[in-house]
Amino acid sequence: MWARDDGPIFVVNREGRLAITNWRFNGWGGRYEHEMDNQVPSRVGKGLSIPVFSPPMVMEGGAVEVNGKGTFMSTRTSIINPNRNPGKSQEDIEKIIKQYLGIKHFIWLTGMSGDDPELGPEDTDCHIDGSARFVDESTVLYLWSDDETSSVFRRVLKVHYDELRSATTESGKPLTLIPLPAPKYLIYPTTRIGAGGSLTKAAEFTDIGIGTYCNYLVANGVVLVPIYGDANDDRALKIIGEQFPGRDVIGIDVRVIAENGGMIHCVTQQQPGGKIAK
Amino acid sequence: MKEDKLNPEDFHMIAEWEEHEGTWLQWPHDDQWPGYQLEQEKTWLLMVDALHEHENVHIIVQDERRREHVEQQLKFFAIGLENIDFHIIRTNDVWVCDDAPAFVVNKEGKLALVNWRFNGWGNRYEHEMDNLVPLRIAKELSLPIFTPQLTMEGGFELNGKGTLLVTRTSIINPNRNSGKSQEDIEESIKKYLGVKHFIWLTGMSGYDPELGPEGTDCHVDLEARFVNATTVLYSWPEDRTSAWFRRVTRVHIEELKKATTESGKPLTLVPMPGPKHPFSRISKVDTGQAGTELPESKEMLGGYLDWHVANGVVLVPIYGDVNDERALKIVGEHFPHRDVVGIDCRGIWENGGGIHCVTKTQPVSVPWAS
Repeated sequence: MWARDDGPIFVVNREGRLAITNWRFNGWGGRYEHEMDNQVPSRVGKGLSIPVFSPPMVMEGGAVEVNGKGTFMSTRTSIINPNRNPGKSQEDIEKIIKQYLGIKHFIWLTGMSGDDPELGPEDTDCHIDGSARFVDESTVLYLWSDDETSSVFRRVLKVHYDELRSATTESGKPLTLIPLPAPKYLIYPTTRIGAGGSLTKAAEFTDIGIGTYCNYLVANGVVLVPIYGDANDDRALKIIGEQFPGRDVIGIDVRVIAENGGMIHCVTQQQPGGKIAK
Repeated sequence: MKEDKLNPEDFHMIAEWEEHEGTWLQWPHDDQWPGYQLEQEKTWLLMVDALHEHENVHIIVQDERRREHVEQQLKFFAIGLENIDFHIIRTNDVWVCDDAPAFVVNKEGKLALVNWRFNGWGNRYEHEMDNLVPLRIAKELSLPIFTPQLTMEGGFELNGKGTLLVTRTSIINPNRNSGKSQEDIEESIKKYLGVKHFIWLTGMSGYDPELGPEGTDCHVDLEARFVNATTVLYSWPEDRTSAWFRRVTRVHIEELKKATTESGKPLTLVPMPGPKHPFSRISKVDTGQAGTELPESKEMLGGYLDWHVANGVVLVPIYGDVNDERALKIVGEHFPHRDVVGIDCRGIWENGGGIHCVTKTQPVSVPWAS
């Protein structure tokens, strides 16, 4: 169901005509079955009768955050990673992304390895869409936590914050940074399916980690925001609502999706209002 | 068999862990609150899935259209229809523990029903249809039904040996049984449930400004449950500075320490932790009682005592909380020969109850000779 990650990522040209970029999808570094999901972009291309470009690299939509003016923001670990793109340097990767997504400037955050014993398991190797999101061309909402003692705070959130503070847009402008608090409490699984494994039979009972409100979807007239039944839900809805004043802000209960590693942005994929060439 | 030829004192209600014929459920529907079914239905599917391999599941639905829907859901999710039957009975809501009849058996193992009056937890909620559920079940099953002059919900505990554990506020309350004394009430319960000994906990008023709103006036299944004839698990929340702990739970623990079973034996008391963290209301369906404002804070703390014991399985409410696993383990220790299945019950809890509140036990019985 992870439409964000298997794609397609839609692009438009100057005449407003629509095409698809068919990035290779390998199940987040070979962690999950992905043969059929990897076919989705070409199948959608066929269904809509639009051109499909196939860039020679692995990338998921959750690793892509753009400001609409030529800046691309992502984490290194989710793209420049031997489990996705072995042998490819940062330059190789930037060149391909520039070519296919119309990008001229990059903001790379450190990210984290999903196999890190202290921080993981995190199957996406820290997609940007859980960590930081553009709300306009120079303003970024970033994941923040009131718990400054956690290893996630120390090793990921704080590192990203420092990197965002020194980052600029394509025009050299510093970013305006707005903290978006994480849910107050950790998420624990309630289902017997998926990443949480068997609740009653699991040898080890672990939390799923911290949730994030960054994983929202902006649609025409509405923003869908993941909520958790958490004390910080209302705070997050308010902060996001302030950034999108012309849109309704709807909280969607994602507790069960989150058990499987993602939220609203991860399971949605926007199609721009481009024309379909005949 | 007509009830007027029967003596209700020949019948008794079993403890929940004794052998079941099945469990009754009232399927959530949208007739009172649009959107309610969508939010709640998954929990009911999970309960059926966990129960029907072990015993029958009797599902009450609004009408034929809703029966078809539930049947399709059960088939689609590969739960199937084995050991499942449907009864078309219109209801206001889902709280079958509270509105359904008490199922009682006599010495020959024959079944009858006790039709306590149900008045929507002291007239807080619509209840006209729910109050008729016992009569409708009696008709569906062709069973004798006794109708005591008493308002009572299923939020009480039995140890299977004649002791009943309950809170005063949920029964001896002018909003249920105006003008009735404790003696009147005990007499009626003794007669219809085969009880000989009472443990009354203080409870609390659901209208208490510091503690409420609490729509049941503190059903005992939030606070203490029997797990066998002499052992009670009692609520032992993480936060022992709260007004609820100070004014309700602590009082109950002291009362339980002094209480005995019907044979004069003191109770074995085992603390049951609660969830570590509160959670916040997510539902956009306003099921609040008419004329009562929702509390300013939407935060609520779940509880693990609101389980349902069935043949071979115990359904335990869980909340996506760090203490879920601990609670499941403790319940499992007391029911060692049963599977213990955690059911995410945050959606139910937002409306004021847990698993026990939405399940009703029917004991095994032998048919009446026709």
